[in-house]
Amino acid sequence: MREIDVYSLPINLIKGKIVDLSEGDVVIQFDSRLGMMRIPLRMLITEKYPQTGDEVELYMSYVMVNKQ
Amino acid sequence: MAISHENIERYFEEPAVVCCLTEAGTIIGPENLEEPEILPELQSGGFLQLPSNVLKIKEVLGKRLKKTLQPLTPVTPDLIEEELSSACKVEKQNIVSAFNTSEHNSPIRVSIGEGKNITFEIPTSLLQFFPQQHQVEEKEKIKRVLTLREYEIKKVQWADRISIQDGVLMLKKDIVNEISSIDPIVKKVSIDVIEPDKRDIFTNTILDVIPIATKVEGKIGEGITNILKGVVVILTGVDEDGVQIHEFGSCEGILSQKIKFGRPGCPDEDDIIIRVDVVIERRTGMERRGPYAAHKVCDVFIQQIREVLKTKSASEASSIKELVEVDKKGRPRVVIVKEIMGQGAMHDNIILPNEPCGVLGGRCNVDLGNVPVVLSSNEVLDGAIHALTCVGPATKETTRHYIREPLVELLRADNDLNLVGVVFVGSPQANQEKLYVSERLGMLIEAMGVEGAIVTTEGFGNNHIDFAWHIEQIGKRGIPVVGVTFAGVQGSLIVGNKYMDAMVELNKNEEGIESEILAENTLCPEDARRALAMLKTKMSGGKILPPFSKWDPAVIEKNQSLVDRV
Repeated sequence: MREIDVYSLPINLIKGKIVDLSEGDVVIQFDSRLGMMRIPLRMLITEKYPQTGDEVELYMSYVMVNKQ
Repeated sequence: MAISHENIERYFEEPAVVCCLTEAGTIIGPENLEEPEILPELQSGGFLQLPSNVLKIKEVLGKRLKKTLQPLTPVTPDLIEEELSSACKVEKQNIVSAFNTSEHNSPIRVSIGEGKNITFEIPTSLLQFFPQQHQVEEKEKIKRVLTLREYEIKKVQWADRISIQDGVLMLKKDIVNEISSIDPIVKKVSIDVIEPDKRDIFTNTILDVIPIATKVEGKIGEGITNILKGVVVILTGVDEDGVQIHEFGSCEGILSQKIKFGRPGCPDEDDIIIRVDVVIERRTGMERRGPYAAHKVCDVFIQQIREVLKTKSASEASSIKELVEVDKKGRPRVVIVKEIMGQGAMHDNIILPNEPCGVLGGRCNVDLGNVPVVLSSNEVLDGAIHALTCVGPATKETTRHYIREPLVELLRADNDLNLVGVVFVGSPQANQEKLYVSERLGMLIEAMGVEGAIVTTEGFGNNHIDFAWHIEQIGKRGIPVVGVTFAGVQGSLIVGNKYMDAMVELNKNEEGIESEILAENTLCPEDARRALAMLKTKMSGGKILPPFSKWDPAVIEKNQSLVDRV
């Protein structure tokens, strides 16, 4: 990972939906069966307080395995 | 992209390169010049070569072009006419208007690059605006005094009752049974004592590091406080399913490896640790009630020690300090703004509890709507903040961090500045609320009439949005402002504005990430010194170089060595 220039990594737009919400985190289900993610609310940027069903998007790069 | 008129002063010393096709006869203005921040990128991409005689932006403004220039052409002396045009006249007008405004203290800067037989004429009527020589010397005024009696503890033992005698703290054996049933959310409590040389043991994630202190006289910030030295409480916890009470990472593991000992918010190398470990109801770790219950139970335990500590007289103290908060009249008023977490759940802080570093009697900043609350520096250093927040361990500011906050200690001790207060402002979840809070902060700062401000934040994430807004609210009121945060690689700022030109990085991790080691990337005395130097530089009109486009720890080292040399 350290050998890769993190500033020039390819980033992909991924869309999804909030499917669960607690006081501290949200669960996001990605479209196209790309998986799910649970993130703290502080990682969520939002105009109004989030609700289940809100559509979200994020950019992410590929996942690399560090140690095998 | 051309430079905006607002930003032009920042770039006076930068090389002048035209941004687009500029015809002969054009009088060069900011709209004709390329933004200097992108020039290094253009150079490395091979799109631009700067000759050695390229002129600075301040040297070309207002001058007439001799030739038509293609985009991205550096401006050299042979391309412009020598004669000065309107720019000079405008400067003259500015000088006169500076006298005519109420800003009597604003400097008049006359820069002459080259020239001879220059004469300045100043009408005698303008002399009235210069300050009088015989200014009355203003005196310092003591605002409040806090006496801090420290009691050195060398040993912690179990006994039938709590006592503090001859450097030995005795804890009650059955105290665990008494406090286990205080809150139904807390299912189990265990307490153990960890000696400095026995730290290679497993620990659950650390929620907080809490000093043991109590009020003997007066309110927090004044009167007398008794505090134990050489011993500190850490609160750790999991839920019934074994899930660590955490959010942005947790620091469970071998205790000796999971704490950066010696940081303001951590136990010191030779501190005895009293560990309070709690198990809370399943799935309440990410709800507000879960961590709050853990802190509450821990506080009830500490309160029993406090009751004994209260009875200790001054003659038994190992050292006595006096914290005198002074209004240094006549010196520039400055303020520290500390952005604390306020997204709910465990992202909360208790402000002004009954006892130093306590829980009971305090108000949660989430319940206060996250609006700014002003504390005095004495209040902060007397334990006015109890940190509930469970942000990532490396950036977490614990309760102990606040009681020995390096920035507050440094600014209040600085004789050039007058620290008028410390403003705590919460960071709510949604942008609408963030804006509300930020605007209130701006109004408060305006009303405080300060001449400088340092804004800090713990953690990273969406709280960087309001962090940027706070800086904007202060900066747009013409107040020099410095920002302090962890960013590194993982916490890169997601928004920015033109007032964020003086930033202090708190990262100390080699990879620039949240390392899950308690307090590794928190504010330390050396960061405070850089922040203070930046604030003084900005307040005195000095120049702060723009950052590189990539995170580079060498910048921090260079700044640090500069500051330390001074």
